[in-house]
Amino acid sequence: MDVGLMQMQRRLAEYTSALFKEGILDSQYVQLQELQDESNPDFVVEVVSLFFTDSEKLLNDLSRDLAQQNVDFKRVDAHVHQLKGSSSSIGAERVKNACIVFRNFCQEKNIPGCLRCLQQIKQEFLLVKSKLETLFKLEQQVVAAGGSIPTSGSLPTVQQPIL
Amino acid sequence: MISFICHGSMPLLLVIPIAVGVIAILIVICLIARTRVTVMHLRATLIKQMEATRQAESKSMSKSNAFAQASHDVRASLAGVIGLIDISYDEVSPGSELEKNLKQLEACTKDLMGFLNCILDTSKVEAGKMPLQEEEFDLAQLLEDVVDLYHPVAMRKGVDVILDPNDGTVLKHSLVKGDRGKLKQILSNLLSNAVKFTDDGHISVRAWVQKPSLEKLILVSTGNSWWKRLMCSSCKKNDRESGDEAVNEFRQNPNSAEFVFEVDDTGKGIPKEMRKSVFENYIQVKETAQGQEGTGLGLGIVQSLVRLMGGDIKIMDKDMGERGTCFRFNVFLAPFDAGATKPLEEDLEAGGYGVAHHLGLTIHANSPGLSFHSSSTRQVRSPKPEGSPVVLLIQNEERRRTCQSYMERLGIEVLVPSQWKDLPIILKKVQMKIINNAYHSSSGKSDRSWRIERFSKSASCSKSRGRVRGVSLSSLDGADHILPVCKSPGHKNQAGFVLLIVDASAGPFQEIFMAVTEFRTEFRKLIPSTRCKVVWLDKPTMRSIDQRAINGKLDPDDIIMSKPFHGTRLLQVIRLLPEFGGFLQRRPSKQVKERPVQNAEATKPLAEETGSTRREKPLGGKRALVVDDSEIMRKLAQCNLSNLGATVQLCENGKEALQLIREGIDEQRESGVSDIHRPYDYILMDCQMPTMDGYEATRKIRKEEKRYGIYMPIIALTAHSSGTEVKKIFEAGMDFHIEKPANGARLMKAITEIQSRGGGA
Repeated sequence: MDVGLMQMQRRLAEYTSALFKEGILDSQYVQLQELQDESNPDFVVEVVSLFFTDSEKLLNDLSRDLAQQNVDFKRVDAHVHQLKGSSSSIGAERVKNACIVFRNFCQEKNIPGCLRCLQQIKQEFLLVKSKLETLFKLEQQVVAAGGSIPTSGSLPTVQQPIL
Repeated sequence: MISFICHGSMPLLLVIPIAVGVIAILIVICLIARTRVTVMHLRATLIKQMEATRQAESKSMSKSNAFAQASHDVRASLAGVIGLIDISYDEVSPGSELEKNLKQLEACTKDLMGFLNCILDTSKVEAGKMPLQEEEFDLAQLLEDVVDLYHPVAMRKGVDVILDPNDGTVLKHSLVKGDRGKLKQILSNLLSNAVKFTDDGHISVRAWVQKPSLEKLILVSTGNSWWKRLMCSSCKKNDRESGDEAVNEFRQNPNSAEFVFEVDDTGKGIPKEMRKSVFENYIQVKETAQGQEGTGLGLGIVQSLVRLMGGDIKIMDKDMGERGTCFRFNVFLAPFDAGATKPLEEDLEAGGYGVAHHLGLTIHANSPGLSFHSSSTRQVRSPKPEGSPVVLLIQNEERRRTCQSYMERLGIEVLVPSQWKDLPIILKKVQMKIINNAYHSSSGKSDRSWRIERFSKSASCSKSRGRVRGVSLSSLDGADHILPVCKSPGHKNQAGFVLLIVDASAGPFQEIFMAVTEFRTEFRKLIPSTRCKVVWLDKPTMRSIDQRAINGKLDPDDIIMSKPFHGTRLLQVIRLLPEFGGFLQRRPSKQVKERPVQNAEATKPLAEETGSTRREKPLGGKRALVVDDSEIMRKLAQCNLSNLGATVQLCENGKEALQLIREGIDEQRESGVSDIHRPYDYILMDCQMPTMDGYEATRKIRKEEKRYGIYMPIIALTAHSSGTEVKKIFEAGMDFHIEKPANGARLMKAITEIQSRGGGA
């Protein structure tokens, strides 16, 4: 077996498990990976790209809305709700958590709090975006070298031995 | 007289006899006394011995019991080790040294389990703790599975493992009731022994069915009774009694038939003196056991299991000059026929080895159609020259013999070249024959349409000639199997057919391939109406068919089979012949690649053709509507639902959903359907959406539904699971709620919940 390929696969596996360990991705991402098969070969990349474009738009809207004279909290809340939904659906755990905090501040109508939170969300989003982009690059390398992407086994399942 | 003696002159003469008499009496008394003493000694010794035996037996019993008890602990520890190894797999990086070590660890634990089971089985049987489990299973399939299991291992040694179809009686009565696991263990043990001790040649496994004759029954039952009484008084062994009881029970059961199995190998053989003792525990034939592992318990277990199932096992004598060992054992199983109405006796009347397949029609909805239905009358079939010829080129002699004899029994004409060099000659012969036939055959109506009908769901059994027994058409549902039906000898094929079965490793592949292609092209030129089909037999591990060498010129209709040629694969190939229901049309080339994979499930494509529902997809055939404003959620839901088998319709908000539903209903009304069906089987509704949210949409949908008397389960997608939210959901009329994001598991949970409530399905 190609040593280079093995090394790449190892790096990919380590990178992926690090993402899980650091809480950047959660089990929902694994679900996405499981949905990917021969009939849907680029499912994960497609969904994640959708998430990126959606979220960027939402973040822009949020910045604009919070900069208004009279902040329409209902609108802001709706945006955050959506962002929370989409981030949880791809497993971007940290982004989702930040959204939850944001909503609390929103309900309190606490503008400085909201602004701080928005900063936080932006940071987390950029982080997950860059990490995922690196991940996809690694996967592409492995596939190009002829290997296959292992489904993430970083969430250990205890198997009952059958005897 | 006495006075004479007293005064007589010969007192000595009288004293002597008296003295002798007295001495004699004394001697006799002595002897008697001595015998007495001896007898007492003997008695004492006997009592002592009996006591010793009893003690020894009870010791052994308790040892067996202790073994059985200890099994729990040992197994538990082993289970722990296996489990830990499994978990470690997750943590290891693929391809590392550690992973390799783990793999070896796993292999060692598997071996350990094997040995442990061997030892524990023996103790279990001795302790009398092996109950027989009854289940229905397919015997022919079991035989094939076991043979296929050992085939690769044996092939590596250069030994072929062949499933000999024999006279086909097992195929006729393949669904039986009995203990599948134990039978499998018996066969596996015998086969693994055979593989161990055979270095070249072949191993044949064959089976046939016999009806235990009535006289045997009577003899057995009476014989047993008084013999048993005699034995009882002097033997106290548990298993002997239970064995006898089991024997009685089996033989007296009117439903059970005797199934005889043989495992025949060409290995080292067992010397006559050791034949009895190999079945004793811990005895191994030492000369042949060098380098072989094993506990020496295998055959002992086999014997115990066979006896438990009411039969016995012995080593058969082989003919002069034949080497190897042949184990024969019999068990009693109850054949279980789903559709046949004729009782068992008539089938077997024609004789155990009989060739008359008269109407053994049994249809089992689950078995891969292994039963044969022949419309000919009761007679030994001889190969009909008008039938489709089959050319069989197989390297292994024994396999060739068994295939040939089986096919000939079915009335197929088989031409067998003994080596690959003879192949062109044989092919030429076939060519001549077909040409002759083509000139002489009557121009009968080609029964193409009749043959095709065989494959349709409503197989018109009424069309077949001959007697048909109790066929329930409903059991043909799903077309899970095909009955190879042989047409009566009256038919003559206008369109001829030639089948070539070629073992790709029988000789240099290039040459064989060239011979076959030459034959084919010439054939097509001379007799265009005759079809020629080739089945290539290849070894799964060492492919002989070099695709590059033949430049991909393999005819798309050819089939490549890579598993051993017996059992279901043999039957599959036989079914290719038109006499047994084969297709004459060309099938799309896609099927070629799929064939080798199908093997035992050869009937699957037909099941799909006839449109039976796919059982693995829980939502197969259902329509789902997804209502969500987030594109990501829509995409996710669509993927999840389509993976579960549903057809998915997407829309962005409640207003669109309502519109789609209204359109679905209107379509039905316009096409004049009186009974309106719901346009969707499930609706996945997001709660928060612009324009019209989930709650309002649901309320409106429920209003629409009431007008037509339909109901669509609505599953709410919500990020909240708080009490008030949930209340709102149910108040609006939704049936179930799942938390965002909706993954496959959550969806299925909701759907099964709805189905159990009776709302779905």
